[in-house]
Amino acid sequence: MRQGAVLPFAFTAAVLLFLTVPLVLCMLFAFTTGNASSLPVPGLGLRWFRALDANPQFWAALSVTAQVTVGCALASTLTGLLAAIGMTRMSTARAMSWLVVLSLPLMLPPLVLGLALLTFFTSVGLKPGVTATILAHLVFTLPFVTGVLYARLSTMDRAPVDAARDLGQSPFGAFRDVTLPALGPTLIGAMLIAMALSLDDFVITFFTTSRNTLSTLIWGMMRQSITPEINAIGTSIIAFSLSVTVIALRLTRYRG
Amino acid sequence: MAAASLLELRGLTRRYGTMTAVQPIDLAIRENDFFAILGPSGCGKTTLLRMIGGFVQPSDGYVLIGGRDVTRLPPDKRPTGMVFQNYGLFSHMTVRQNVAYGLRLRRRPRAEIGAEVERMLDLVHLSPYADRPAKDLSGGQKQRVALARALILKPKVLLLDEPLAALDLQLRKAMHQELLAIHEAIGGTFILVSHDQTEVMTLANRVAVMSGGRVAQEGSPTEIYDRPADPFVARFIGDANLLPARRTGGVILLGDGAPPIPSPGADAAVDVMLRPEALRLVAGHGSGLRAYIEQVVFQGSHVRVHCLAKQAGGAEMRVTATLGRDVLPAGSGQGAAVSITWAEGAPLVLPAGA
Amino acid sequence: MRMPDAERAQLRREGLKTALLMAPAVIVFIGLFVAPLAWFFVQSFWRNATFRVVPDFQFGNYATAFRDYGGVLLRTLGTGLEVGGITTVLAFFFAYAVRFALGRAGPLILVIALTTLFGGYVVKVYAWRSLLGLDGILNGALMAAGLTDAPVEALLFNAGAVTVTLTHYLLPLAILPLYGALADMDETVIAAARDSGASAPRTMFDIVLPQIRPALIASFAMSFLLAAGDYVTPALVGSPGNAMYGNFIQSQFGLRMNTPLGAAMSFSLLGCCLLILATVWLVMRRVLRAR
Repeated sequence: MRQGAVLPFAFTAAVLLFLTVPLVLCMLFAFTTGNASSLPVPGLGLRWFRALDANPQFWAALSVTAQVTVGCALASTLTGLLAAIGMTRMSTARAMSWLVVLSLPLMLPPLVLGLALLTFFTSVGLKPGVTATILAHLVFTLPFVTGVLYARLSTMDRAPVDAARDLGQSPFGAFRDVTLPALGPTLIGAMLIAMALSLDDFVITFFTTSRNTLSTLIWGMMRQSITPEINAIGTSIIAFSLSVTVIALRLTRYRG
Repeated sequence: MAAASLLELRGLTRRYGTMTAVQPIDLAIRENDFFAILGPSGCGKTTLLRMIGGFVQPSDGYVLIGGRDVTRLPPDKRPTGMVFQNYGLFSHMTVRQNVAYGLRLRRRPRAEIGAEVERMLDLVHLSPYADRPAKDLSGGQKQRVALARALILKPKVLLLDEPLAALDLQLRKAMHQELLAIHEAIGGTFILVSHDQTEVMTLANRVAVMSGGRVAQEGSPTEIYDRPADPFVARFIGDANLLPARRTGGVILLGDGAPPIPSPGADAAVDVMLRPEALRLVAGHGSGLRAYIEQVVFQGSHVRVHCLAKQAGGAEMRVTATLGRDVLPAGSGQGAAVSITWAEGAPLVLPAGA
Repeated sequence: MRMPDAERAQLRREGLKTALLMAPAVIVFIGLFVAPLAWFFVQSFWRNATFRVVPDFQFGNYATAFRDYGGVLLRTLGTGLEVGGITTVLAFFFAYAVRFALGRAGPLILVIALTTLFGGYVVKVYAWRSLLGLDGILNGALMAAGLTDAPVEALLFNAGAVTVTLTHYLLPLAILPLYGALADMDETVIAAARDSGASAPRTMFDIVLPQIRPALIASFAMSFLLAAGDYVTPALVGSPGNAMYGNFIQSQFGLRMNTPLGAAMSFSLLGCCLLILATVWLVMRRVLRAR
């Protein structure tokens, strides 16, 4: 190792600690047998996960969260897939400008987007609830999903599709027989990315939901008292979105 | 429709915006021809082939196959089969599934599909690989799968889009033999697009040379080699000396010592084509085009001799001869004086080109 | 020969197919982004009466947004600039080290950093709150080390805690575009600059930074916008005394139900942010240009 590499290593190590330590500690305290999220930890156990299991609020929030994330993932993947196919029929420059336009909602602070949606939904008579939250999440998951799917579709070899057409398959049949199998992993990856983004959101959920999701449940619990039960929920969220992300990255990056 | 031309192109044109990729082309290809479209990259040959296959819509003109207008038919409705440059294999399927795909679409009985696939795999020598995933094959094997997959449907016209361009030289030569054997065995009309003149010479019995979106010349390989229509074709097919000269009073003088070449026609600037292998060298300045040896390049079975000669006008010109080593005159070092001779019918007079 | 009409009809059919494919995305974009934002903007000119809003066209809400909340707005933009600046600088050095200095350990370090991308925004805020709290880990550590006898209150509920928490949340997001841009950069360009006699810092300013300027701006814009628009972090780890603009916007939708004022405040904040970003963009273009 070069001498000059000491400083970069020290710096990146410090940044890594800054990024990971709070989350690692948060997960550690979820397994404490003590009463508080603090050091020293008297022992490790599943006490607070059992408390969570016995908490009906948690199960209700989990159910709402599941409906929202799955609904949002399906809706945005379908919409994004159609858009990505449409974009492959245009010139690259044209497709890129579409992508930029569709990404505009990401430039808006979530607070403003959430409040605008809240006001709009109220005006058109859409009550806060799972549907409203799914629609709201669609706004910021769609650009990611479309981008990922377009990137894959536009670099895909066209010859197999042409070959299928040449051998007598219809355009839709060629899409089903050739494009879809090759796209499959990316499609699942895109769906998982949408799930992770939806799960990660708090602000927009807060303004559009009627019942607690996991993230609004944490918010509510934090305003009352802080117990390792919150760490247990947090740990579940971290574990879930981490595994979803890892799978998504593997599927979208490392395969055909 | 006598003297059946199987495939007919009439005024076939393709424009992209203001750019014309394929100028109006008329072409007739007979049944059982192995027809080659030869040209440098960007000459429009692949666009032409894709219009025949139905992948590119012509801006104008017609494609007729067996007398039937197929211009507006999509690829799946045409009696054409295509072999793609980068194979276009279905990478999630096995070799067998790839080859069987077209017959499965046509809902043939399973037994028939199985037998046909075996026959095709046998034809391209891939039977041992039938159940391998297509993506695990080597380049040459992939190309043979693509060939079998197209041939199994017995297309009236087989379109080959630079099918061997991705293979190395040895493999390409082996595939040439195989393609010829397959054409022999099953017959049918093959149309090959290539930029490799050796490949075209080896495989095709008819050739169209394309340049700048139009067909510069069409004919048999020997016709095109021996009687190129213009300097472009002469240079593109094989080596050629294109010597600038003037026709004056029906005669062309190439330079000092060269016999006058009779050439009827009005006075004009011309290019005289002489193939390097048609030239002979004689030591010293005797009868023949007087020149000096500039460089001798050893090429194994033969040598290339680059000579400098003077045009009739006095300007220098370079003439290359390809000789057997045994006929190279003794003492042919750099700077040696030589006379260049040729048989009477060897020079071909072409309109002056670029 | 052929009727050009046939060709045109075919083109139109193809165009129609593309349009149909794009339609759902366009509906989402218009119906869930453009329309709500436009409607929100319209409402910012309305008037708030008791328990209802009255259509109007007046700038009173904007006047209030700047007059009553001007100080908060300035402080919020300041926090946004601070967090955006710190985050972008840290993210750049991190991405640069990963790309050029760490060799084969680089990708692994990057992956570890990016695993913190997800995990939930509220979870992260909560993690910091439990870290910095009175009975939190940091105080526990300080006391165990004998540095203090009593817990230090100053750790939580202040502007510093807000900055740290927001930086923690935004850093992995800011690393992404910067690493992407640096990964695309040709290493030989840097070698060539050094070879032509440029010092390491000169190379940085003349070659590296100008080449990745779009990514720098993207990272800064994202962290600045998200920090300036935030209200969760200040509410949970900040003090009531230094609440941010977002907290006041949000409170217009809670008890007071003053949508027009809330909308006007949202657009005031957005407008100021875009103004600052435009300035940053112009400055960056001047400072980081090819010389």
